[in-house]
Amino acid sequence: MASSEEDNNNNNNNDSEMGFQYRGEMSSGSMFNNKSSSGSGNLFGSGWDPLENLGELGSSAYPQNHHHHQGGGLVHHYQSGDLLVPKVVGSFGSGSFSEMVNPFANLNPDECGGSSSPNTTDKRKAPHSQFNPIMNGKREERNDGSSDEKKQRIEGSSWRGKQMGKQAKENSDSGATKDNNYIHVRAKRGQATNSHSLAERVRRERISERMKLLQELVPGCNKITGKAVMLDEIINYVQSLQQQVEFLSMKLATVNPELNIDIDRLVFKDMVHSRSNPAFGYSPVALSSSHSYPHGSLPGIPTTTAPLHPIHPQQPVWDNDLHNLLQMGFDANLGQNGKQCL
Amino acid sequence: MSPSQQPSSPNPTHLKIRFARRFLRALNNLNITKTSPDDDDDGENRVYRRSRRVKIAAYTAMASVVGSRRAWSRAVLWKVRNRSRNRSLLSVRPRRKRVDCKITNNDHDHAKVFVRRRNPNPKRDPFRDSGQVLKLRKLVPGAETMDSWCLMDETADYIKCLAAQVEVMKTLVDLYTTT
Repeated sequence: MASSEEDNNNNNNNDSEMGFQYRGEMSSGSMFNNKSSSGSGNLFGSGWDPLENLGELGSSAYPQNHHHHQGGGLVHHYQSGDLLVPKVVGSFGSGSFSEMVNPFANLNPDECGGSSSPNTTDKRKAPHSQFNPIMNGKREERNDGSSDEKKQRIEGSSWRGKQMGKQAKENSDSGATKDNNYIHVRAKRGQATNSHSLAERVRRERISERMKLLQELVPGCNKITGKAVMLDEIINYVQSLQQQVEFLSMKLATVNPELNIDIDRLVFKDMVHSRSNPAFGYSPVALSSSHSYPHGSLPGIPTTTAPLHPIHPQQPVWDNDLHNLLQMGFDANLGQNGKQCL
Repeated sequence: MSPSQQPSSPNPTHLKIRFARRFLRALNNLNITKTSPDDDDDGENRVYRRSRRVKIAAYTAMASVVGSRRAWSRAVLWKVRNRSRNRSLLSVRPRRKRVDCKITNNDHDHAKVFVRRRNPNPKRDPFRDSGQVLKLRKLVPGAETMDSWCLMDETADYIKCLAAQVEVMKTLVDLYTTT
């Protein structure tokens, strides 16, 4: 196992830079995951069984193509593998840079002491780690001393050379995130590359992405920037919706007892609704188009749908059909159940 | 097709249709069972009680449409179920252990749910307990103990479903009042 990995690492070293690096990251990540999760499930949780299988695939045979597929497959399958961001980012950071750079070096257990997963340190002694470029600049900070000699091995790569030449805390790459079974986060230019701050930034980005989604949901919040105001709007909107539900239920309670609806009519309502436009505030053009549907889809009752009731133009389209069908239900039932209800 | 991808949010029209079905069915049941004790109490109380029942029926219908996918729907259904079961014994309820944003992923079934990490770490959750977030937690059912991201997610889904519910109810009221 170890020798085959070494050979493969040798082969990989000669690959083209950009394309290889991501593959290398992914395969090493998968191997990490495989070995560590086989050791203990603490770090990666219980939900990653297929990942183990993929990792085994990767470790069993090492043609170049296999890595490609594996990497691609992993990317596809675990796009949302954001569970492991803090832990893995931490583990990458605390791992020695020399180990990342030099696939043949054995790990110093001391350098891995700060890792959040003590289990992985044992696994990493085997030189299975790929020749990774710098993912996070924080590794440079910690291991500058040991990394200098290792850098000399990396001469042929212009891209990597630039990376390693920088002793600063910045990466010139854009903030590309590759999803494997965890998110590889790149620190953007000018940002701190502490593992904690990176993880926090990822969290903040996720939360702000949710806030954008909420902005779209809450009407009239397009111009609002800022979390506090947005939260206020959300709270007000939820409260107003709940009050509306109460008010409407009160109204329904007063109005309801006299009328009864036949459930069979609801079937027709469903059929019609699935074809009509759901959008709110459609122009009367859409209204006319929706009228044709009942004729086409309900040959059984064309006569009853033909005389359409007068429609308020501001109502949404589907409500008209609902009106029609419930109206039919009412008419039918009022005749039958009039004695019972009234 | 990733087994760990988030399930797609339901089409609002389908939501409204399904909600309308269940809600109308519940209203029917209400109508049928309510005819007998009409003369017990005065008109106001009767209306209040009835409106509360209608409200509960609306929320229950919505929650059952959404199912157990969402924490808020589970919380609503659980509340209603327990309230109906233990009306007399309802003094101090032991809180059920919340499954905070953790739905295990059964990969063999290519399940539509996905794994979310349980994250009670206060360091990583700086916005957890600020004033407004607390208010939001009280408003959204089942969101008391979630972390911020899950809270936002649940709020988005809850708002969507609430808006659909309100629209359907408005239509029904209009329908009832115009006939």
